Amino acid sequence: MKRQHLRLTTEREITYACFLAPALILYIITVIVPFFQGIPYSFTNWNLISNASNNVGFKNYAILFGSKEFWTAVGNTFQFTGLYVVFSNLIGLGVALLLQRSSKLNNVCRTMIFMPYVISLVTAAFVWRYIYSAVYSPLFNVPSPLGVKNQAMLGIAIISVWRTSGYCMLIYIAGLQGVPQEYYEAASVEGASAIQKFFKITVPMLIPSFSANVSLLLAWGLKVFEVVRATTNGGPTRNATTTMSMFIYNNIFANSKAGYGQAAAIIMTAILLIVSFMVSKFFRSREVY
Amino acid sequence: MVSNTKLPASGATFFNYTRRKHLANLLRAVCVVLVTLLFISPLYISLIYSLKTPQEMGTSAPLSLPSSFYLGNYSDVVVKNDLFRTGFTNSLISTLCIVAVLTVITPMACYVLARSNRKVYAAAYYIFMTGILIPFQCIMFPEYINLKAVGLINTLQGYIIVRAGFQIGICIMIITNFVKTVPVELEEAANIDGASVFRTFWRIVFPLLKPINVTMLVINTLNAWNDYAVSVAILQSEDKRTLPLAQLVYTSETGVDVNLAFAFFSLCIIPVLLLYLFTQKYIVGGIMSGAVKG
Repeated sequence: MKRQHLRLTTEREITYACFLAPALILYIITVIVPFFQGIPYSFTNWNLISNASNNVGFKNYAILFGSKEFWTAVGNTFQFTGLYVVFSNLIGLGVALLLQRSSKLNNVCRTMIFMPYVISLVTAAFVWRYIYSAVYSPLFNVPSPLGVKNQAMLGIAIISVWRTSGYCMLIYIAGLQGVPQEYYEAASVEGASAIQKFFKITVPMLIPSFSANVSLLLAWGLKVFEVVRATTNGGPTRNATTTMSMFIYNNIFANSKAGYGQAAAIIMTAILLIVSFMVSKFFRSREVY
Repeated sequence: MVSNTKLPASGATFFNYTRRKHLANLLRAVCVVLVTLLFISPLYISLIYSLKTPQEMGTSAPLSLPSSFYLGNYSDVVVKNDLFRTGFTNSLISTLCIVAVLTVITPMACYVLARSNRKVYAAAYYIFMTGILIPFQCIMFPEYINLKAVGLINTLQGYIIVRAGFQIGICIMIITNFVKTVPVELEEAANIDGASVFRTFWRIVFPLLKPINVTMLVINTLNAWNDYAVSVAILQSEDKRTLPLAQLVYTSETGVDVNLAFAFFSLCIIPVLLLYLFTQKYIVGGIMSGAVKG
């Protein structure tokens, strides 16, 4: 009996190991190992053409910290992320409040408003680019925002906001439906105004939704790549809209300064981790239950 | 509620009250419709532009409906545009492979991670979760070097492996959470009846995971079909381009036929929109359980 039990446990353990192995191995090969490879690469002057490289120590990082181009890219990324996170959430919340109740009309409208989210960013960017130049521009007799230095980032942000607001809306609708109706009734009995109810009940109860949306959109915003590449490709003037991801891509593949680009990628990862950590800490301290 | 506390006294004011309420509802409905129209207007514009002839462009107002249902732009893109055809085929093949791989290997792994208490598996779970935080830009260059070393750079196989691998972390997180909510009793019963773990999983657990598997299937399909960041680093030759990469021909606005461009875009949009409309329930469910990441 004992022997049979042992046989069964071994069999079980072997099957478990075989079940886990494909996913774990693929993950380690494609994500974990490259991550650790990337760190030493960032200390070399590797270029894509010759496979030889020398260790240059912290030189890449030193150049990066003194590089105006890199900090412009970081600044652009944060400018985009700010616009993107704030407006996606405001519009998402506004639409969620409008469509909060379930009715036939509201459900159809939710479906439509979420639609842009499933389209690829590249396609969305191209569609908008032509809308700016072929529809918006002649209609209002102004140049496309993507061609104007100070408006280009806003133009790009509008595309991304259009695509993500529906996503925020869904999260907020779920949050709003989770607020117990009795809270509002009690507040009404006490004579609270609609605005008071919104700020004293709705907003605090929505903290988990805010937290989910803001942290996810921050991560997306800081990684922004394809919209910029498909619309301005860093232009209209030099580096006007280059973002961190584009800076990294351009250095690794176009400028053939892979070690340098990899160092920038490591810094970008650090920025991402720090920002996400701070945001989750900020929201955790404000949760009500 | 307000209506209970301030119950109107006379019939006249009551009538006013319901009328006001009706008006407010009407106003709300109008707002809802306007906002929705604003959101779908870019899609509307791409559709009408793709249905207009180049001659019509000059004569009619930009936002007017096309005078006839002209499909010439679409047939031009499908028949004459090699970029579209290779892009579509490549996207289709790679998406199918990525989704198939993920659908088989991730639920298996999640089953182990959810059911076993051993420290090794807890460590494995930790590895998966940490990896989610890594942005693709950080592993893009090492990935390129590795694929080049094994001769898979510029191949769909290489892209499929990397894209599927990069997606594993989030699938593991979502599906493991789901497996933990599935009652163990059924498996225990099967176990007592002498079924092996392998059999138990595929015969009993896997069918129970259907809702989450379908959700992840749809989300993975969207991610793979729409991917740009991974494919742009790996697939660099023209004949290997996926649809999002093929669209890069439109980066120069001069000399491009706008109607053809919009027909191309519409053809990229239509498959995902159809998928979305048919599987909306699952996509929304997936989003609620946090199944998306950048």
